[in-house]
Amino acid sequence: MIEDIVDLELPVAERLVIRRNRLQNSTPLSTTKSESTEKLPRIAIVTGVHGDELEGQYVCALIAQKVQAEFARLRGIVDIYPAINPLGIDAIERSIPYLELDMNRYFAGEQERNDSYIAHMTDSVTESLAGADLVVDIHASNIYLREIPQIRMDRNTAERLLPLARLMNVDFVWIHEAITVLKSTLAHTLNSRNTPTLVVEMGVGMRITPVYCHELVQGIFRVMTHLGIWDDPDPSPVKVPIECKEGEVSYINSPAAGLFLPAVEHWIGVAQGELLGRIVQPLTGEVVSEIRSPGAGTVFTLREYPVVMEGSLLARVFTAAPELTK
Amino acid sequence: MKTEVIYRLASMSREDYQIHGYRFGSGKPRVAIVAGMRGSEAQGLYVAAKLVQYLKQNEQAIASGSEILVIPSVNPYSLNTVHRLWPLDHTDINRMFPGYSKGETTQRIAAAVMEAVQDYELGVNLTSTPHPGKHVVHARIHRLGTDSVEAAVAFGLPFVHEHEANPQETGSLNYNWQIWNTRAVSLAGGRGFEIDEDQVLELFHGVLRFLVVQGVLPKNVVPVEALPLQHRHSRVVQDTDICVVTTPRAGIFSTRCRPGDSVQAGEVLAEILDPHVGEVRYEIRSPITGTAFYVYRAPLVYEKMIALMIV
Repeated sequence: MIEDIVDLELPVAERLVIRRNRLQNSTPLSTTKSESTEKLPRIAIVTGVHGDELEGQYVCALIAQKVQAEFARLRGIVDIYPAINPLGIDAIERSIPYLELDMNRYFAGEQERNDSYIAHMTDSVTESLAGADLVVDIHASNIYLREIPQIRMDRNTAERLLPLARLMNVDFVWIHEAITVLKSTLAHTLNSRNTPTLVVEMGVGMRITPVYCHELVQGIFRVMTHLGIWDDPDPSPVKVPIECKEGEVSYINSPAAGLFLPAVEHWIGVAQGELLGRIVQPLTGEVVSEIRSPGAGTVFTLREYPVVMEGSLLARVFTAAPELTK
Repeated sequence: MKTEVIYRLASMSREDYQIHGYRFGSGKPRVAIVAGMRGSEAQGLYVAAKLVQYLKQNEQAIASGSEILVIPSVNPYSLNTVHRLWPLDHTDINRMFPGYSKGETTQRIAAAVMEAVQDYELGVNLTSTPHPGKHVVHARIHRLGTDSVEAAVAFGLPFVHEHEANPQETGSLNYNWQIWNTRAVSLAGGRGFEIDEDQVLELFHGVLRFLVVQGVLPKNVVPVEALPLQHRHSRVVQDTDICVVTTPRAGIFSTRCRPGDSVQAGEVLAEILDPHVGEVRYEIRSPITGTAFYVYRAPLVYEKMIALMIV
């Protein structure tokens, strides 16, 4: 059933609509409980808060296809929200077009609103998600960085979220410190309202990485089985993710401006001092800098967009697992 | 006047990015004035330029033992491309404070600005809001315990907006100045990417008035319009004092109301028109009698946008 979660008038012959597809099977898993008294378990797949992130679009399509193809296995509700920022997706803009505001900084209900239609959208989305057994908010990095499939959480939520994250078939779970500006994200708002929400980061902006999408879909069905939403007596095994804490990540920021040409593959083990890439100046051809790994570890974030300035992030290296290679 | 380059960065394709600072007087760091942090903030740039010109001509009048620093444009790259945010990654320098000298580009810029301005007793940021409309000229401060109200009223502008910082605003220069014990005031007004000559003069005179009240400039050198007279009382408003009027319909936004206008309860201040057939979809009336603090100013408006703020 396709429902409009938000329906706002736009100035010229159009409406701004945020849609969800609710796939629901009311047949209870246990025959001893009455259907009418049992609250159906619910998972929500959310993506497109940032209009330039497309990996989640394909994940939504794959989930909708599989649930409908094997509908008899469904034991609860799967809600699919592919486009929280529909105008941004259409305009290939990360932010909300026109006001140029990052929608994922406007989910905290208590703050001053820059514009009330954004508050209306974020509040309506939050209300419709609150109470789900699990929300998966799928992000695709940005156009600058390529990320290995990973789940990020702040350490205050780790106790509750880690057991679910371990089922998601991702390579990496990053447990970071609580950050003030992230208090107004969709995930923080839902987690603080007691609705468990996992943030997935994978791939790169404006592109689809099919292998990552298929892996994540496998993990989502595994967690649905765990939550009693999907009937699979023999679920396929999932990857055991590397769990990483803040102190185990080295950030490599560019020391110079130019074109960044990587010398390593993404998600590969590197030795201390190993060449990660070069910065070249196109006007002269000069190699202005050679970028080397500050320690042994695994490159889990790698610069995708070639133009850099001093400070641009080039790579993140997880330094607690030196030997991993793909 | 001493001119210096506060920060410099190379670019692959453009001339080096540079932040220029202009120092006047000598001694104790009294007042830092920062403008042009976003590409939309040309009005603040203009006010700062007028201040540099004025202070250059009147440097000998600055109270002895007082130093003033003016940074007219933190962000020439965005001003020159008429782009509100940082061109390469669309981040906002004014959300990156206190900055990080080993971090991302705009974190480094914020760290350099913070280092240059953090020891000043008083901080003034000529800034803007992201609203697509026009504000009256006002001083804006955060409620942080440190008392900036006294500093804010010294500008003698019509309003002081005492505003509670939201999570993102903890990354602003104003907020971080106050963390480091600088009494900080932001001056806002107008609309992004535009200059209103009357507001420029009002802000310019406001800053001169502030410098007189702070004892940094003597009364006899400032224009008579900038003298701190008794009757120039700012009205201090809190977030909760601002009556926000939103649009229940979308369409062409038609108004003759201007920020600063006195408005009556029930008065029609704007109309929303059907963009194809011209019929009035909605008449926006003022819910209260007061002053228009903000008026939406773009040709087209969405449903549930802020049309007006009345105080």
